Amino acid sequence: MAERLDRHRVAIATGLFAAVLLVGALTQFLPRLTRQGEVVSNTPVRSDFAAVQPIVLEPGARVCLGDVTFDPAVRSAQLTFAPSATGSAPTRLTLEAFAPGYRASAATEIARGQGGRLDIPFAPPRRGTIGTLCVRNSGARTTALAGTGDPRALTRSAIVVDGQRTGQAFSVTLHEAGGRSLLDRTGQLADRTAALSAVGPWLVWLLLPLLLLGVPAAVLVALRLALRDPDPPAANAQADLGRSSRRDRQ
Amino acid sequence: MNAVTGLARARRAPHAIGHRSRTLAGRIRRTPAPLALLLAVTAVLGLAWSVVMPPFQGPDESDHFAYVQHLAETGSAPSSTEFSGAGSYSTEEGRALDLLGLRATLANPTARPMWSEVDQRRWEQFERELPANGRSDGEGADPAAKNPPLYYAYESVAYRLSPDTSLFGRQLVTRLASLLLLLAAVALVWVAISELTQRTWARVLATGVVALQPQLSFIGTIVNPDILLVAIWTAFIALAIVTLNRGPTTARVLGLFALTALSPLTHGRGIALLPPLVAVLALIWLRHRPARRDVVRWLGGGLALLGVALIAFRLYTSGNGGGALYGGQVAAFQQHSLNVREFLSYLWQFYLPPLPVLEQRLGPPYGFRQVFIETFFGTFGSLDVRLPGRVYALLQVGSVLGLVALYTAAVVRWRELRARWDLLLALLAVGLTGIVFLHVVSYLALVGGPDPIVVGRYLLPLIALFALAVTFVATSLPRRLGPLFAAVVLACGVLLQLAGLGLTVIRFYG
Repeated sequence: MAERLDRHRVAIATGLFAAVLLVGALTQFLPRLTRQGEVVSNTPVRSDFAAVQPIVLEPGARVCLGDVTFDPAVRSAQLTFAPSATGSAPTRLTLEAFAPGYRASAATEIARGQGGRLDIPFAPPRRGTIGTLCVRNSGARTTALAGTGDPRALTRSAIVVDGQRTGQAFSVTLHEAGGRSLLDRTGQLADRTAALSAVGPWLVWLLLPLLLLGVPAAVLVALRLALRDPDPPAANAQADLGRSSRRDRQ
Repeated sequence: MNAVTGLARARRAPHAIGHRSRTLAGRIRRTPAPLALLLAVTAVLGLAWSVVMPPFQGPDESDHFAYVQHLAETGSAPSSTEFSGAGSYSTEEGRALDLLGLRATLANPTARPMWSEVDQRRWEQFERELPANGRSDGEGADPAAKNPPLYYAYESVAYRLSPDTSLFGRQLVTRLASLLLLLAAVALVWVAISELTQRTWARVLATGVVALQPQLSFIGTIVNPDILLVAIWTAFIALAIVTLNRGPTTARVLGLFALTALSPLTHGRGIALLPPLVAVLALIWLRHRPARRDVVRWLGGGLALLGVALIAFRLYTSGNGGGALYGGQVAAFQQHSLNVREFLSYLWQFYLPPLPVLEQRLGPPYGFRQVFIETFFGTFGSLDVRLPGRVYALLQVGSVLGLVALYTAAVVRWRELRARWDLLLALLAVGLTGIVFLHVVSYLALVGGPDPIVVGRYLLPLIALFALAVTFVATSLPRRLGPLFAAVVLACGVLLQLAGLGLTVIRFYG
């Protein structure tokens, strides 16, 4: 009878454990893993929320960032306009990217009163390279890009004037083609993780099943083994909170 | 294998244990299967965290690693106040932070590290051409250098032993050395709970709560002295329980003194273990009434241990040209005086909504939710990787319900608790001292500025008490419900871990 009860409680505990994991996976993890979104290729200069510095571009002015990485998968550059940029007249921006053996440019019109972010598509290099990214105001109205003067954001790229780095930069994020979910990008995420670790992607691939299957299974087996051990009799005062009768002598 | 065996069996029949079984291999073989599984889970999760978290992205990890590297390369700590050499970081670490975007990513979720092949090639070339002193020239000022040396000395051994001498190879090895401390803490929780209950499922629950706590796994797999503090406090709690249960021996009492001496040698916050030591010693005396001769011997040895630790620390700090006593925590006491009325007002508003009669709130709206929920259960990276708001809300509801359940269980089992008043008072002394100390430090910091300083990871040295409390509630439930409660808690732990790891991957590599 007691054995049947024990089997019963092991089965219910196992079911509960699995149900909580399943509900969590289906309601929290799966939607996020299958949602399609933008894919960052690289962030030459991060966005700063607290202290946005406007980088003012007069008509015809051009600002360039040095030491920018262009990956073959890059498709567009995302710029952010400073709040003061939302004027009444339309204007035009030209993006130029160049490195040894690589040159690309693209122009785009900023709509009347447009603020916030703007994606400018441009052609990628054939292979990864490090070069310069410029933005030119080819319109007739002054505009301003959101930028930063935080030294932590400028460790790689900063605006270069007459070959000299200045203490500020416009924020820019390079994107790959979007429309892929995290699940589709598992291989890419493993490669990126391994790139900044001393171990190769093999460890990431090994960890994936261990995390998703091994960890839940091991916790469940530990619990099941424990539940197969009969509880001490309820009347046993030593069952909880220890005892003083097992006193060791020095 | 019967899970109750192992440690418990070894205790019951000490004479049956031969010399051979006292060897490490014998101990490993006797490890109960559920504990072995939970340690394996801790190891896998820890390895995952140490690989997924990009280098230097833990809280102040770049500073802590710089300390380890300088100590390992030169045998001396960097200065905490004077700028010299290449500055806070060695040339190698500084260039990694800059070239690979690892400084820009700190605490800013819009930034990503430089993972492309072309950046990696450039980094590898830089490492090949690193000047001879490129690893040892981070002479300071390093803010972490005001910390005592124990953890850094431990990590510098791992740094020197690393088979991979690249920066990232050594960083991974130092992170894995932290993981060993985390594994020790998990095993010690098993030891502690095994003293308190014979129910194996309750032991699995308590140990699992610690093994699956995502903030602890994260902190336990980066370079940060907090994890050594966790291991020391957990060992102290386990040893206090063992000593109160079985009676004092020279090894046990001196062990308590030794752990208390190691605690402030690890971090300034470690000084808070001193009052619990006094309380536990008093309780041991009241409970077991040891012979006066033994007491004198133990106190003499113990105080000598504490004295040696203090002198070593003073010699060390005066030798490296900086470092306020106990990492500046004591200095805070000296700079600001404690206004009791203002402190109580701060304390009320930390936990509860403000009342009209109270003084204006000190500092930002920062309290129970931020410290006991958000940054205790899971805020990763440099506080920039957060669980969804609804998860924190659920954790808060669960925690408050848990506190109510704990109170109810204590009332229902009051006779049982009263019979073990010594254990109860000892655990309360550790928990309350730890929390009150943090509140006093936070209050004094707020008197002098806007930063409340305290975050949830500072509560992690008390993680064993948290696990014991959860288990006490579970074992107070009706006999059939306890194991089911344990199953739900452990499943939630697995989910939180996977969520934390997943969000970290998305934040840094998505």
